[in-house]
Amino acid sequence: MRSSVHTAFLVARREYRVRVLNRTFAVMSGCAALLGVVLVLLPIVLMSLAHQATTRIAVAAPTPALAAEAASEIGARLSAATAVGTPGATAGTFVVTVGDAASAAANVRAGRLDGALDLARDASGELQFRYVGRGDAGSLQVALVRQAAAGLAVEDRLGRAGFDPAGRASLFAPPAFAFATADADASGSVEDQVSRGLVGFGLNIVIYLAIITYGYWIASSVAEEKGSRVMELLVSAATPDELLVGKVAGAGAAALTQYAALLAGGAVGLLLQGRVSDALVGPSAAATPVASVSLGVLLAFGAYFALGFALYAGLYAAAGAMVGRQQDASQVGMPITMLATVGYMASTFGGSTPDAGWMTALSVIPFSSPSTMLTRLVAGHVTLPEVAASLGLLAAGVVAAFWLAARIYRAAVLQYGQPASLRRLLFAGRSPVAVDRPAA
Amino acid sequence: MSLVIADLRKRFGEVRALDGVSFSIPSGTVFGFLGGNGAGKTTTMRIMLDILRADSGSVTWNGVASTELPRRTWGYLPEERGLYPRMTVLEQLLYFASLYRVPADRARRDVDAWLERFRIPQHRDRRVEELSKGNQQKIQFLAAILHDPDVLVMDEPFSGLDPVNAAMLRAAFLEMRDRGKTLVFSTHELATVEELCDAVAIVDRGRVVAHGATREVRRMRGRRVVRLGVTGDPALPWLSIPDALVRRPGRDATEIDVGAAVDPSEILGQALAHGETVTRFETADPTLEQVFIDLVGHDPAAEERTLASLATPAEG
Repeated sequence: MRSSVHTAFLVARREYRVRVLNRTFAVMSGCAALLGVVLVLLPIVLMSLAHQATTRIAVAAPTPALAAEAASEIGARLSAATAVGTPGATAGTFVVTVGDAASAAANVRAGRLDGALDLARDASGELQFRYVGRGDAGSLQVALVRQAAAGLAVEDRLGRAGFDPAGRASLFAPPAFAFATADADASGSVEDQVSRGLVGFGLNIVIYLAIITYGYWIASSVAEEKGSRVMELLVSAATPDELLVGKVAGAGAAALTQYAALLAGGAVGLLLQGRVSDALVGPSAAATPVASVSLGVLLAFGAYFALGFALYAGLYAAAGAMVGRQQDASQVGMPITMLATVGYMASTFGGSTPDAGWMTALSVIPFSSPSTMLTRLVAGHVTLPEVAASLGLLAAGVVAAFWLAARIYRAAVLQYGQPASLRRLLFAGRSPVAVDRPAA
Repeated sequence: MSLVIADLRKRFGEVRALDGVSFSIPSGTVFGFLGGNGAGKTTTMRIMLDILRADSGSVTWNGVASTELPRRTWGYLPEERGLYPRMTVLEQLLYFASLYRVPADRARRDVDAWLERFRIPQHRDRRVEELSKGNQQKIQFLAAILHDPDVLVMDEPFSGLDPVNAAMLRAAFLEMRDRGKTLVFSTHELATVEELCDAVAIVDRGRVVAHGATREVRRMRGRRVVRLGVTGDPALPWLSIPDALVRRPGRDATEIDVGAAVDPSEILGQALAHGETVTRFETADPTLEQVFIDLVGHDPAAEERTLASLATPAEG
């Protein structure tokens, strides 16, 4: 047993070195590190871009005084929305008065303005508002202009009814208002939920990409060894099981190395996050997505990453052994990739309904649990026994997958000529290739 | 002290690859394992090495079953040449040596010595894909012997080698034999077998059809070869002795296959009686090639059909 572990280690070490000392690997790892930085800082940059935008609105009215009053009211409303961080609010507001409403509307259509408000009085003296803007009637900008118009209309009526300006101001002073949630299961603010969704999505992508990218590595590497016939030398020096385990471990370690580069980049991004946020958005920026990652989630991610990768890597190795040419590896590995994709897609679409029955079921099935359980876990809707059961089944799935893969690998690894069917390989009988020789 | 192969049987689906293969190889000898394409040589070798399991039968080395032997007992040079193309010669050989638990410093020392001996020390740090086919073959041979195995099993070790490299390899074989190692190899170059092998086995369609010391196998049919050189027609149209058949007419000498009851001097007498000037006359055992053709020289079309059905594991 000990010597088998040592042999598997030697195989893994060669696989790891060959992968890691490759120039392409170095370039890809550098890109991964850069990607890590970008992924962490991107939300801040996007937020900053949104904040840097300025809303430009022109106001036309029968009198300059009314136009100025309307411009002031609209500017106040838009600035207040920015100040409290309303989603969709822009950083700057620029409201001007103009004499020609038609010309202002033309400028909106030409893209030079964001909106044009035209005030008029009907025969009874009531103010009438006509607003030309972008987007639909339910946008934040239109809603704010509508609120401003309502305020202006009421003030105008009060003025015409004889109320002095000071009295009108006290009349519209906002009352004291406090809010406390009564929902024990509330999962936080909208921002928090969005943040959790982003984290779940990100972790899923990390697992999914690792499985399909490095799984293909393994399949391709096994097919290459078989195709170059070096396998004949290898199986006389090590058992197929040692080769299988070593190959999966070596490629897995290489995958982790590249992911370490990604995480290192992410860590650098985190260190810079505060400064970048202060510089681009200002000190009042909302919490970033990474704030949602707890230690428990990180531990679970590590466990699901390792077990999920091992599960699929074993199957990819078996798939690689079934073909004699490296270029056939992707084709034979396609069903396994599709299996991994099902779990990934399910977790993506089920992210908004983590408690759905089908999500619960998929989160305990080994092939889909790495993705779906992580999504549910990040959403905070999972109990510890559920996670334990899911991990237990996944571990059992890894053992079963390696047993199956070893059976196929042993039967297929020295088989050349026409590709054998899966059925023939699985039922080839007792150990077509020897597996239990002493090592030295 | 010997390697004993006893009643090996192996089927691949409908194809019977081995049908009771048995022979023994004394330790410290060079053994030739001969047979046509698809006869079962590679399958037998893989079972000997325990990288393939027989349906029945056994392989023992000094009384110990091959399934119980340490892997480093064996060295294996497969028929299909295969190495990691992008690894350097040194990295590759150290890797294979490490799988057999050879200490790195010893392996490094031995690699240098063998590369010198094979006259390719300049390739030590080059990638294998940059080497010629013959040099790659030498590297693969080194991968098979760096752990100093007791038994070296080689499938077609001379194929693709030029005469100089083949001679180098033959010298290495003999040196290993002199150090008490046992060498088993298959080849279609029967002259090399006659030169190197103490004993041979010939397999045909999964069965051993001849086995023993090389000289005994050459004599097993009880016939001899007479080589007669004459100045006249090399087809010897005047030869009229029953059981004396002209095998290979030649300008230098004509080979005549004669039965045990034939006295070779009768052939010489007939030649002189017909006025021929005799330039050469000698008697010898049949060549291994002649014995091989007599024993396994069956219908080539049938052999092709067999090969097609053996497209899967049993290649040898």
